[in-house]
Amino acid sequence: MLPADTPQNAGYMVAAYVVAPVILVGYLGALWKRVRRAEGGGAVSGDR
Amino acid sequence: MTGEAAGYPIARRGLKISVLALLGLAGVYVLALGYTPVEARQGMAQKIFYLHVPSAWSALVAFSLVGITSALYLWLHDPRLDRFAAASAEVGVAFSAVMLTTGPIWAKPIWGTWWTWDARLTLTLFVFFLFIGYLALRASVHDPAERARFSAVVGILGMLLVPFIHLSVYLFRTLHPQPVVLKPSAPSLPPEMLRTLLVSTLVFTLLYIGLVTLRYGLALVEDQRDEAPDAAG
Repeated sequence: MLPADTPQNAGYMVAAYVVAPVILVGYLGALWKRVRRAEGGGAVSGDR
Repeated sequence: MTGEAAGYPIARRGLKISVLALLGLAGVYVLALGYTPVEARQGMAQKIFYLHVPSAWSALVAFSLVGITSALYLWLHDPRLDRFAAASAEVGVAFSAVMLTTGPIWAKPIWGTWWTWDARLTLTLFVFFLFIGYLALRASVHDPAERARFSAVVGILGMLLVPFIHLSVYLFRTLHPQPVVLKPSAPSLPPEMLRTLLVSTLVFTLLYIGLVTLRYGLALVEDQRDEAPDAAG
């Protein structure tokens, strides 16, 4: 049983739990897109 | 051997490992929400710990490995070491982005502020910018040998800051809490919290391996594609 004065701040946890996978999945998707483009002989990304 | 033959399967393996790690991250969410207790003083916001600490771990491992492989490159001149350093730096920046967003989201309800310029936070932001500079440097130098040499020096300098980030909470007065696991004495966490943290750290380490493998495969595809016209000519 939690003390009555335990802070009610689940919104911050939800925000962090959404932001982290958005960054990681977004980066993974962008990397894979670059692989497909490079493999197909597309434009050079410039990031070496 | 063509770029497709060498780099693409490596990239695909990296993608598979990364997807597996992301499924593991879903498992971490289940553990954090369903298994670990709610911390009485911090409430649910404390559960950000299970993302913030492992992302910091992966970022600092990534930047340390950039420095080590950069030093080895300067010694051995093996392009695979330079390729790995570049991959690890980019992945480290991605993990730093997670660390630098989850940190302020956690700080706001606990410290009452999104950000404070104390030693740990400032050094971490500085290293993040340093490795963005490292990536910008790589993008702006076109000669591969020069690019590898210049960026190796920056990578080594970046690595030298990593111990200061870890020790900053001991060396300076800071709002940031001291380590609860990576310290000389035993971890000061309830067993459920410690187990969830260790699982999450393993998942983030696996994700680091997956993303670096994918990024390394991409670099290989790009390098071999760029070499192909010379070989034909």
